[in-house]
Amino acid sequence: MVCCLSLLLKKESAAFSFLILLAGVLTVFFLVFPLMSPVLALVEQIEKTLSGGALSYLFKVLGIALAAQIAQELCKDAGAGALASMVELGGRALILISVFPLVQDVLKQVEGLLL
Amino acid sequence: MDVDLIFKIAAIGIIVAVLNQLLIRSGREDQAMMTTLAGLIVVLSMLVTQISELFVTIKDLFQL
Repeated sequence: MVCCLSLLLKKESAAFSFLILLAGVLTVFFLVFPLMSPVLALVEQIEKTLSGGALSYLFKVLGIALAAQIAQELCKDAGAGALASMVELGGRALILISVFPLVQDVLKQVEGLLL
Repeated sequence: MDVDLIFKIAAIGIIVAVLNQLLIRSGREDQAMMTTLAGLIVVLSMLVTQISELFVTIKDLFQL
């Protein structure tokens, strides 16, 4: 429904068609996202019992990836391919930065084993 | 969050498009551009609050 509304307005003003697409993305996101919260609560319980702290990094990476993915696809919808790849690059850089402490821990453990 | 946001934006878009054509036919191209810009700014201001809400939700849920 959102797509045909945006196609309807494509001829007169392309900007409005993109804005309608954006509104559709936001609406669907807010309708679907509450369904996810029980899953995340379950994963949190698992994290408390089993693994140490690595799962919090997983949460961070998931959040960043989700936000970067939405932004990138929106740029691609608007036709700006280069901008989309830049946004994706930014998302990857943020993920790498957020996982950095984990990598350092692994390196320390490896050093401990070798020496 | 509900679906009427889409209908609101679609209605504004259609009104602005029709107004645009009307003004162009009656010879006032510059005013036509003004109305399109005005409609765009109104819709953008509505969407900005929704986008900030989107990122706040993601931040809360993933403890970023």
